[in-house]
Amino acid sequence: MTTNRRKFIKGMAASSVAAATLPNIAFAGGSSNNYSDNILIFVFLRGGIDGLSLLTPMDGHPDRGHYEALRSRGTMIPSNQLLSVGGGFGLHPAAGPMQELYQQNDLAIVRACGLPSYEVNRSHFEAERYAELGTPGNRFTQTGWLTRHLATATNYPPTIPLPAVVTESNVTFSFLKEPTAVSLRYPYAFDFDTTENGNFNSDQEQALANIYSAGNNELDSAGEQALAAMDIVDQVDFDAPPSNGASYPTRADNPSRLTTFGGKLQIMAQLIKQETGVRVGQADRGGWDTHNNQRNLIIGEGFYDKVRDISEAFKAFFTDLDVLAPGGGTWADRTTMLVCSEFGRRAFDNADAGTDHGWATNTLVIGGGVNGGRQYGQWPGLAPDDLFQSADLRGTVDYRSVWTEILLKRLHNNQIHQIFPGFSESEYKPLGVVSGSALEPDFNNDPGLIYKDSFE
Amino acid sequence: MNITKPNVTGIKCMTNKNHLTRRNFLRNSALTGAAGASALTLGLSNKAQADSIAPQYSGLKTLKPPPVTEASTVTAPPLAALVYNKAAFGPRPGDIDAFNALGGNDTARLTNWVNQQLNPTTADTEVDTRMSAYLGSGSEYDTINKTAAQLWTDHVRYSGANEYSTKSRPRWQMERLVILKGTYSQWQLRELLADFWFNHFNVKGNRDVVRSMLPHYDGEIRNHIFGNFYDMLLANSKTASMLYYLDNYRNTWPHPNENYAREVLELHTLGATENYYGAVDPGSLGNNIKGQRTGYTEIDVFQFARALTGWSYADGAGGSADTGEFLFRSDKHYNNHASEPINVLDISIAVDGGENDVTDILTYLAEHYGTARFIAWKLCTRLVGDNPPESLVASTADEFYNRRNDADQLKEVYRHILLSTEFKTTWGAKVKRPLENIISAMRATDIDIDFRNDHSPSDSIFGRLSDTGQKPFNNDTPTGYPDEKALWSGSGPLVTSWRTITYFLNQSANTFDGSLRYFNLAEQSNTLIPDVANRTPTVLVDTWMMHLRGYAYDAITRANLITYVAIKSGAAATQSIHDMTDTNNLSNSSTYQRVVYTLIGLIMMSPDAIRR
Repeated sequence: MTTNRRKFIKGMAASSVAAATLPNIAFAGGSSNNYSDNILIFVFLRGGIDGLSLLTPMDGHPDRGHYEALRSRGTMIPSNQLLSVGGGFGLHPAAGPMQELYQQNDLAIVRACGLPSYEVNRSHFEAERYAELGTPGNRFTQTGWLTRHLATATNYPPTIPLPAVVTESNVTFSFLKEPTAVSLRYPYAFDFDTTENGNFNSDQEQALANIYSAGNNELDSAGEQALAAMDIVDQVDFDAPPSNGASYPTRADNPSRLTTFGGKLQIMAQLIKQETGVRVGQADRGGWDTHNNQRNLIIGEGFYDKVRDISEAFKAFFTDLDVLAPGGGTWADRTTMLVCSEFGRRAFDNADAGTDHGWATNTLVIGGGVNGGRQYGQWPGLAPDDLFQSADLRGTVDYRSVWTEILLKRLHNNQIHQIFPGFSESEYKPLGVVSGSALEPDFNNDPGLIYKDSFE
Repeated sequence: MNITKPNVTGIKCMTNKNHLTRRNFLRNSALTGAAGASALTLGLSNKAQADSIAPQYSGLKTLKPPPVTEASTVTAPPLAALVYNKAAFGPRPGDIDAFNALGGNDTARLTNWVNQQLNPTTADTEVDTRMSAYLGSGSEYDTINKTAAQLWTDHVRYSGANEYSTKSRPRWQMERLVILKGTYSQWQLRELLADFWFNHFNVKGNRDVVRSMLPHYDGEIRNHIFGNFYDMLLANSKTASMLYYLDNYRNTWPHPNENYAREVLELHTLGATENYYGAVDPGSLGNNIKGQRTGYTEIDVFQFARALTGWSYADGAGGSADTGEFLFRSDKHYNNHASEPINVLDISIAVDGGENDVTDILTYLAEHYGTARFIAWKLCTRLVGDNPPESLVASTADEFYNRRNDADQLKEVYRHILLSTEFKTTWGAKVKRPLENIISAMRATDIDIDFRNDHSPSDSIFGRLSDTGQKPFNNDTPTGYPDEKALWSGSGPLVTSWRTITYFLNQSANTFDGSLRYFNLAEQSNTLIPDVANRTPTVLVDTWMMHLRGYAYDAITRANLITYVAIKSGAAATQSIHDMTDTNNLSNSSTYQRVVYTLIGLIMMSPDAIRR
């Protein structure tokens, strides 16, 4: 292990205080290292989260009666256990930290969000691709929506140490074919594993870098990048404690260890605070495919635990990031988190106290620039005639509207025709979920440089 | 209130023209790859950090933008190496020579090799030998040959001391067996295909029932690898593991659970990619070229779920035996309670049917041309490369379809692909995934290890493999591990593969618990290059490239390897290393030992060892 290199950075970069008190030279005269760029953290809840159990009509809401009738077989949440967020709705009982974020105006809820009505799809694996590739209806798109964002953004400096990080073993569909995306699941496993001394290790790395840099196809580039990323990751202090006493969720069976998702967000926060330059990141949280025994109200491996996990992790992440960043403001101010899932569940529960695949669900937007403490999106209703195919919560917000608004206002990228090809001006319905001056979106439907349709 | 619950016929349909037209369009509409060279300027670099307050992250160099096209600059290796890297886990020393001895020209050699691999004998000599010591009661492979009922009784139903480990032991043994067989099996194609089909019918290894039944589940797949697809599908549908994992054991009338029905259509047979039409009226669909309804809809999912009610296993409930074996529970089956027929695509199941309600539908699905296309596409993607040519997919699908009633249907489908021009001429359209990289390196170096559970050298390698994101039998979702090159050629899979390789090579010269046999690469090097004067960096590199890979890498890679050995040994490129350091010092920590195994590491971590 080459911990020697890791040590030199400890105590210097690790602390955000150190970073914040260093002379602010990065922005003098508009330096190319534009550290005022906002950051997007994309969280994908894989499996299709039951939106009706995350945000639920309470007593007094006109749909409460419909809800109770639909959820009569084991997934109904009593009104008095819900955490009110106004408008007749309450968050899941385990979502306390989420309610706090909401009350601090740091969290917005977009209701009934999903794939467009003409591409409703109840297959996980199709719907995930439709969402993350940014092309509803086409699962063969060769690049992800964040790949195309990075390729068309004009506000980033020419080089960034780690512009795109995925805290998964593999790159996600959102970053498909993104050459700079680093997939970093276990920091401790992101290095050669030898006991070498006498520079065998570093010379071997250098030789491998020479070999990969001599080639010129995708794998060669990927290998070069992996070696460079190895060196950068090696310099990050992953033992740095969270700021502000932020408390990431821990495992029920082993309180000394973070949950998988809590650990991912802590890594992301460390990378951000130690100025590796993350502009876009992704962290996944799976386990939402609750066909049976959903356990909305029971502690132990069910929906309840998962909601608590993500709630605590979101809260900890933004508490951790609430420290001054170079260039002014805090990291939390400039970091926006977008929380999505491929679809919601059937409005009615099944006989196994679970829920099957449906259409719309909630999207959450948290953190910097969020017009929080509010709910967005037309509520489609739960009366029999309101449901899609008599079965699903109807989608009233095309997910691309929310993501586009974030691109325009937070990430300063207006190349919507490249990122969401086929998404038309008439379909774009900004909700005001985030603040910031919006660029004029470019919906120009010419084939463009990036998204090319070989069929036409 | 009149809410439609599971009465699925009540679901209203939406006719969707976009959806229908899209299907044709999809076939040819692969969108072009990533941003062109000019569009991309982000990179990993330390070059622009001078004015940053950030730590001086020292990336090795600025990343070049990726080329727009892949593979154009990659030279394919000789056919023997190509075959062993694409249709096997990589060559072991001797494999290339053996392949080349199979005939007078490449065509004959490939034909003969494929024929051998498609007809494995019952013996798997080295695997059998290495396992033999560990099959006894209480040993590391003692669950592998148990029947379903034995696994059920001994593991699923076990309660008492060490409950978790007793229930999990079959899984742990199977995980290790994947490595053992991948590394040592002479039936390499079968191992590759076993991995393919397991992931096609994926179950998650750590789930209850599955963790204990895994030897049986995998065995049911392996029984049909070279057989008939319908037989494989049917056998799979009767396993407790699948019925548990996808909830069909809970699929009972009047409470259908659609999970398994959906995945049979979406993942096991027709596939969602070309044949799922979503929430449309099934009556709006046309027919395919074989006169079958062209695909499935949400209605078909619900209808099929009904047909599958009662398709279960014996777990003691309802007066059944408690064996974990397949059981059709006719009292829980739809037709014994209802008067409406079930319609799934073109099949209409009459009222009062029994087990044949399900087998009729499975037969139909197995013989559907859409299934032929889907399986053909997946196999071509696995064996040839991503985005396989439509002509090959179509001809493979025809082979699959035309042989649908043959007992050796799948064997002939594989043969069709492996003898195709596309297989022989496509190189670099895939990368080895971490499991394949690691096994490939273990094969090339001829590691000597009886890989098994509760054995620290095995466990150390296995633990690192687990960090790669491709631990065997561990994909969460029923899709199995993805196969797309773009998902596996990123930094995570590469770095975690490399670190496992550097780890076991680093350990190779250590007898670190006495049960890993001494694996002395410096000694092997000297056997390969007996003349001390000949142990030059150049000869060392050339000899090891041929020994490990069966061919020489390109000139630039070769030059880089020679330079590395020269730097580390202190010898000039054509000077004997022995002039600088004792090449007969075979100890763990001798300079020569380190030079040898770090060179081997470089050869096995190079891009040409990662390509398929």
